[in-house]
Amino acid sequence: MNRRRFLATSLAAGTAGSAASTAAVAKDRKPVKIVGVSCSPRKGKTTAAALSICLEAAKAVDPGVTTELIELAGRNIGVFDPADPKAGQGGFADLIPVVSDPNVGGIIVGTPIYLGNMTSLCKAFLDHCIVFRQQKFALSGKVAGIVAVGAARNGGQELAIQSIHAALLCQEMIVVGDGQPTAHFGAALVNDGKDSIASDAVGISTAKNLGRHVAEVALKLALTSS
Amino acid sequence: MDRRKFLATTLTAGTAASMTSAATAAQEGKTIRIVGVSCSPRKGKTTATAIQVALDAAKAVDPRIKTELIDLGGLKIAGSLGGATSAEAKQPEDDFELEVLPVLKAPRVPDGMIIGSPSYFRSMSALCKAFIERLQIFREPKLLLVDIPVGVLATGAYRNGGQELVIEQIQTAMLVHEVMVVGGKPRAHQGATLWNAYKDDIMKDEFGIETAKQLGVRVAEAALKLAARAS
Repeated sequence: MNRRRFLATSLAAGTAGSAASTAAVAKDRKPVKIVGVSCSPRKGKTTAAALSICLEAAKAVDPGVTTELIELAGRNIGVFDPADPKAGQGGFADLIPVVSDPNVGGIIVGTPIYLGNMTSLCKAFLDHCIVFRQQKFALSGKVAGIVAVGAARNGGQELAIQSIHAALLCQEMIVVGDGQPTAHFGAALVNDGKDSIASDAVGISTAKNLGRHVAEVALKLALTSS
Repeated sequence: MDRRKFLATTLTAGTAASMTSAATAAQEGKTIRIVGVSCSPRKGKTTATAIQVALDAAKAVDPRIKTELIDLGGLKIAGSLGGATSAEAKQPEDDFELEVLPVLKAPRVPDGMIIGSPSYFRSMSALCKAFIERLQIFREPKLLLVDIPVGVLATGAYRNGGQELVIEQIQTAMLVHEVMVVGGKPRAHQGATLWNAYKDDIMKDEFGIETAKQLGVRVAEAALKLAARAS
């Protein structure tokens, strides 16, 4: 057995071992909820689909993990104006208690790529999140992961992920990337031009790894904080 | 045909006809038009003031240069409604058609642009992103902003408050139009970076105001050069 193989096999065994102990502790612990926020103005399209993949993978990590998908489409969230912070809130107000709930251990933000970055709806959502900073940093310590769906293979996914990371670091969130074996900085997918991501195997693997990793880290944090 | 529709349909035809006029304008010593866009929801505050500084510096470069400021503060502008492809993306109807488009296209597309945004959570304001998404009309079906020099300005509430990230994001977005992204003259490498450390009196940020000026000069010089070569 060469060193690579040894590392790979012992790693898998080790992970399995620790996963079992995680599950054992899970009984005495509050459930960890992972929330997905789809920032597409179009409901039920590729961004929502990619987030659903993330959430499924998160749920599979541990029976204590619950998930919820929130779609911003149709919630009438307008641009943020610091002179009148509540003016453009629209349906964002309903999301405040959902997102800041102490049981929420992780938030996965998903956005389509418009012109090389997140949608204006996504930015509006992030801007309105200023309320959490004002509520004693209500998102502090929650895990954050990002999924970006572009119309081109290299359509701005990286920059969008980075931009959202920066915004969520301002909330004292714990930013993570997609987990191994892809392990880069988030999930990056491509819409095939017909509103499907089904053929994007690479992208789907990053979405799964992101969902799993967010849940793993959220569980770990729930253990240490209990 | 209502006014919105009229504006949208005449845009393509009108702009195509006037594309060549930028070049001839330079030749004949006519105007080079540089448009500044302030993407702060707060009208007439730090971003608008800093853009005006940049525009004034641009104007001082050459007597042919005329400048205009579009202040998006107080306007209702929403982002694109999206689509499976960018060509299918639907656009909302709001102040963009009525207040912004007429200035951007009259009498022709600008010869240079300066776009400025406040930094909110280390990226451009949602209003700025909405404005950028609405520029889609200048991209499809035909690229109308090709080879226009574009410079970017960012104001932040902290000294290192995302100004550089905001500039990078706006530059990247504008590259889809085949524009020519420019920074500022020396001391304003990426563009204009301002710090609102003096309760909205941005003129007190001497370092930042200097970068705004250097950005204005660079955009003006590039616009003059491009207009002259295009002829």
